[in-house]
Amino acid sequence: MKPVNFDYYAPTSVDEALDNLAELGYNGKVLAGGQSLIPTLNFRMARPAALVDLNNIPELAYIKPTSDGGLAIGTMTRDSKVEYNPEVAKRFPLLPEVMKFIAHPQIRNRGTFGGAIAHADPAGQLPAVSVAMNATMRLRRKGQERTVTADEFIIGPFMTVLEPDEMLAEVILPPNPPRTGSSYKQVSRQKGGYAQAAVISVVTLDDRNRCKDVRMVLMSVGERPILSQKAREILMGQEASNEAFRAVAEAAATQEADPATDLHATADYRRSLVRVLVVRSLTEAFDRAKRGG
Amino acid sequence: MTGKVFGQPIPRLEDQFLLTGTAKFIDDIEIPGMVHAAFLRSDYAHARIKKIDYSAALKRPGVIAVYTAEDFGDYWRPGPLQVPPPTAIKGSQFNARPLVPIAKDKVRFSGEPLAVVIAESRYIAEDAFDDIIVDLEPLPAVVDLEEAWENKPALVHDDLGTNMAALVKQERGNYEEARAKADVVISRKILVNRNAAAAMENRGFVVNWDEREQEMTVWATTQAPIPLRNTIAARLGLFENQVRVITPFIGGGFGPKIMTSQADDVLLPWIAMKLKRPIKWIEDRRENFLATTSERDQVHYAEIALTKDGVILGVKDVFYHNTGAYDPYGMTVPLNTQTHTISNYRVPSFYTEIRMVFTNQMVVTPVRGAGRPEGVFVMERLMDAAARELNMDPAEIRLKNLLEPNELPLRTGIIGQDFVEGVLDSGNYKANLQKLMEMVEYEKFRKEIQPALRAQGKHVGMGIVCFTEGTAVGPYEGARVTIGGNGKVSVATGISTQGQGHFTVFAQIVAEQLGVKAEDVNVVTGDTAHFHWGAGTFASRGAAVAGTAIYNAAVKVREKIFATASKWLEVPPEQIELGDGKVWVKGKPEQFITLGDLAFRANPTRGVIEPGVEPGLEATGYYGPPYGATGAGAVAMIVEIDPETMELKIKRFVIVHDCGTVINPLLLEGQVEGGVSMGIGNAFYEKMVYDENGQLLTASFMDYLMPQATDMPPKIEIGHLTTTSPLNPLGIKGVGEAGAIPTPSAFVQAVEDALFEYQLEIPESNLSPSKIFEYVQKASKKG
Amino acid sequence: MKIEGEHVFKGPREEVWEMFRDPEVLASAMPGTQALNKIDDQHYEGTMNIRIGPVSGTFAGTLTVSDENPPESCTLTVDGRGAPGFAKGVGNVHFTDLGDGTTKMTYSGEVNIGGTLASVGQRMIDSVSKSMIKTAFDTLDKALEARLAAKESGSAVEFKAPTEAEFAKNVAKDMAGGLTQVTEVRMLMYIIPVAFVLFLIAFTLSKCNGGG
Repeated sequence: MKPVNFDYYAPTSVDEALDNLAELGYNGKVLAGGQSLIPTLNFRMARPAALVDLNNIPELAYIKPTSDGGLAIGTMTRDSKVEYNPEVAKRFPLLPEVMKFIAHPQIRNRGTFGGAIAHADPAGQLPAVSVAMNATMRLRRKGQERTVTADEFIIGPFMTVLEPDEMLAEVILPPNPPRTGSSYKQVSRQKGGYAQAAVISVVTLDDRNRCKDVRMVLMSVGERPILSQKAREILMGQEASNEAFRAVAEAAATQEADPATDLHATADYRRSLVRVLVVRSLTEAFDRAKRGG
Repeated sequence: MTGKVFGQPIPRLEDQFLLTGTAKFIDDIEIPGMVHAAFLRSDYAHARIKKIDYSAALKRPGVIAVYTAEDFGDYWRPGPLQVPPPTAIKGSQFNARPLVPIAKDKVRFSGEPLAVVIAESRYIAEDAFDDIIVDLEPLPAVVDLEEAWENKPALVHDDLGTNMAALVKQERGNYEEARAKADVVISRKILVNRNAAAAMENRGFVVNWDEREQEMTVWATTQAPIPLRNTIAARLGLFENQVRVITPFIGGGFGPKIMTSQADDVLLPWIAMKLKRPIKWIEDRRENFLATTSERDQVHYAEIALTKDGVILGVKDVFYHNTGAYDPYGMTVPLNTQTHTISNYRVPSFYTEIRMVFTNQMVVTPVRGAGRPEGVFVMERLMDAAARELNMDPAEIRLKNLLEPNELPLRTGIIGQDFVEGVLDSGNYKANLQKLMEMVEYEKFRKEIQPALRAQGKHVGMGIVCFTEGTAVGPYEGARVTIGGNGKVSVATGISTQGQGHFTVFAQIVAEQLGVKAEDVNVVTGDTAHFHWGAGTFASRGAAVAGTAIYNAAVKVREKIFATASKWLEVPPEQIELGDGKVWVKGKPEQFITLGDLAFRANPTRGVIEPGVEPGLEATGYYGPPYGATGAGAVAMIVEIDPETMELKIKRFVIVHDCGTVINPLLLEGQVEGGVSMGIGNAFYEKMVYDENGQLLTASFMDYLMPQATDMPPKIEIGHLTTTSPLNPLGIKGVGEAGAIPTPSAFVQAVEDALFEYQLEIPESNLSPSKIFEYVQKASKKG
Repeated sequence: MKIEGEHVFKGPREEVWEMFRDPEVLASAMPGTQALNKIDDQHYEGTMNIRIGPVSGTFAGTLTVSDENPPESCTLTVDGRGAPGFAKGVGNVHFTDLGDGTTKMTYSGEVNIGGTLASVGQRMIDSVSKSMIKTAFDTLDKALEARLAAKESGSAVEFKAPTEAEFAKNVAKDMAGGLTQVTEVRMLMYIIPVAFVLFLIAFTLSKCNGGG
């Protein structure tokens, strides 16, 4: 379990990093927190010819308010910094709630917000949360920049639209309208372990407690985070009701979730978890939205 | 039997070294000129080796040498067996196929070594794997135990003509007669799943051959330093005392580190002598899962025959046991299963049959519990099935059948791993269960608490089981106790330590006898230069067997102290007091000699000594029991299950345990809690999974789930009873494996009890929420 | 691991077969294929480069065709080996002309993975395999489309493995741009199950055409 030789680049500015990536192309791999990459290197399952280490670029780590009341988070911001940031907690209580479930504190001290999303693990919380929050990704390569939505960004298991010489530079979180409530429910084998299924709900209510917007994401039951269309279809314009939630749960579990059977759980079991967690998540999100979010 | 030091809960003496980072572990060993070894391992579980071409690897800079089986010439040979065949058991059949150090002609398990690379660094050695061209012709893999018994789909050892590794039948009484008289006969197929030891530290081996001194030093993470030394010396044609085996601090053993004659200890000493360079090999975690032994994996067809009042008349158990690709450790594990099935119950007739098979999986040797958990699991499942059938409470049916103290000692009629008939030496099994029921408020739980919770829709269940633990088996251990010129005491014994606290408990035994402080007793374990007779750390025998040998030696030293002091103080021995590191005349404390001074005087360098007197204040003691001492206990656990997600929480865990005399209550607690943690792991988390091609699918902690602190109950409540063992002067029984043995049995029963409306019956020992969900789905469909 | 399913190609059976019959076209359509050589009628060997997230590698494999029953079905056995493991796939493929200008292909097979990938990569295998099969068919669909369009217009087939599609994107560029891989093409490889399914499909179709 020792990695293969690789060249090591340690740029100290974003421009230098982008130069390195442009030069290396397919032979280069970005090193952010390393919490997912290093084990694959040690198992020799990944054998990049060169690593471009972003840990010496302080300008990539920040949490800044945006002009519309949202937040922009630099890709190299450590998970724990996001988890404990008061501005984050104020605007997006969903984030600290979810992040408590990501592995363990030691890992969150090294893992980065952008790195986790770019890794696009189907069982990863941050990729799923970024879809639920309708985040925008700012991607940069030498001389170019583009933005895509989180849903566009993640295209499959461990797969994003990033070009080989491109890096995720920033995650922009749009502000939550008033009367927005969110909730995260997961089932995992152990504390800090991979979720076997999870549901994230972000709900906005109008002044008559009817659903004005809902983004419900099914996590770890498909190749990528699944933004539920059924939730929108059934809940838009509706008030909270157990009946409606159960209808969403049934539709999501049977028509949208696409879980796999693996060593730890069968697809059937995961589907049953989706049924349960959708109801619990929507119930809590609606409730929190009613109480002011 | 508590004294000033013995029996006291003193904190561990070795912890200061461990906690300040000064303790030396195997990877801390650095020797100038040291090179590194790595083993290229087979991906296929069963294959013929057509060719291994390592010429390209030799060209890689930093690679010093590469060896395959052929390169070792006559030095390559299988074995020897580490545990002899069960010839003591009449009619037993055993096909010996000891470990081979490196695969030759054929690969028999995924992970078996094909080549060993020696390089300047481990990185380079692993790089060299890519250079080695291996041509293997895959063969069908033997994986299913019952199919293996039918020699399907292939033979693991072609020359043997069968996959039968052993067939051992034992009986007491007559089961068929018992069955004929029974009102109720219940049969079940029961599975016990495979687990790894997964010690925090993996294995390691460092060897240095000093050509000029003609001496070899080996550092190894071994539970058996003396057998290791002896086999290395024998293979190389050296004197035993030309080879020194040192065990550094070890991060957990749990069984697999007892193994010898593996690739590292066979091949690396030979290579070290050839290359004349020190060699280090540190196992990585994936290798540990693949190629270090693990255990459990049995399929039982068991039957119990009872009267309608729930009195057991007989038990029958025919089971398949997986020994893996080889059987170097003999029948130890399945024999433990046989001896622990009827456990502490009154079972007049018992028939048990082991069908041990070879498969294309890693070898099975003891892991904490070592076959006992399987036996207990089978019996407890049968008891539960019987209770259900007869509409009896699980505690009630057990109380009815537990042996009474006046029935002990009981000759069981079943021969165990030490090749003698097992004897239940002492114990009060009913008292264990009764104390447990008191601690867990059993009646109240069944009659008040549980019904109330159920009315609220909560799924809370209890599992309650009994068990015995055979410990402290022979053959023997030895130790030497010496008073130093510094007035402190030095103890050396042959067994090694993997974190049990030997440095403390052995010090306590000696300090009590010699009137010194425990901190002033220095214990050396597992260094063959200090003591070179003994068998090793296994079967929970360290405290009982090595401890007794140490006690015997200490008693002799005490006698010498009095004899020598008598001479120098010129009073009879009865008038001498010993304590605080000195001897003095009774009533006249000013007439004293310090122990250090006395030791000095006991070793004259001039003059004449009396005949028969040995120099110094030193003695060597040995101890070998006639058979093992049996500890026993009972466990109750309460779980709560979320019926929507099948997530489970352990609300309470209570264990009552009797291991005879207790040397250090703190360490005892540690042992019990450690065993319980592993038991919980075995029951709900840890599972080794091999696919139908013999591929191990769980070779990292991502897939092999280790129990965490957050998975444990809020507190492990431990109750003690003490029935001393008549087998050694201190009355000690072992306890190391106690917690691991009954836990899966209690767990499964608790789950069934929690989900009462489904009338579940779970015949396997490892569960998960998904698995529970499957059982519930099946049960629901039955309507 | 069992792999089974079906896929409907939007093209007549003959066109589908013709497309797969030509190793050159197939190579350009299949993500990451570097080389595809015919040893004899029953045996082929090839090399492929795959990249999924951080995991990547080059692998080489052999393909054996057997139990031919043209033009309906046959069995393919793919055998690949290398440092991180091995993979062996056996697949049965069956074609049905749906009568409406489309062709249904049903496949059922088993891929056995061993070595490091199997022992520590279970999470990757499980989550990736379904996605890869789907993506592979997407790629094949586009290849077929290009062929049919070219045939209609009478121009040369202009098909580039889609650079926007999922994983195919990265690897196709590898292949198109010529690899600057450090590792040499030898028996060092990294096996992904679907690659073998692709081989299975491809060579089945070319083979099951009755040799044409």
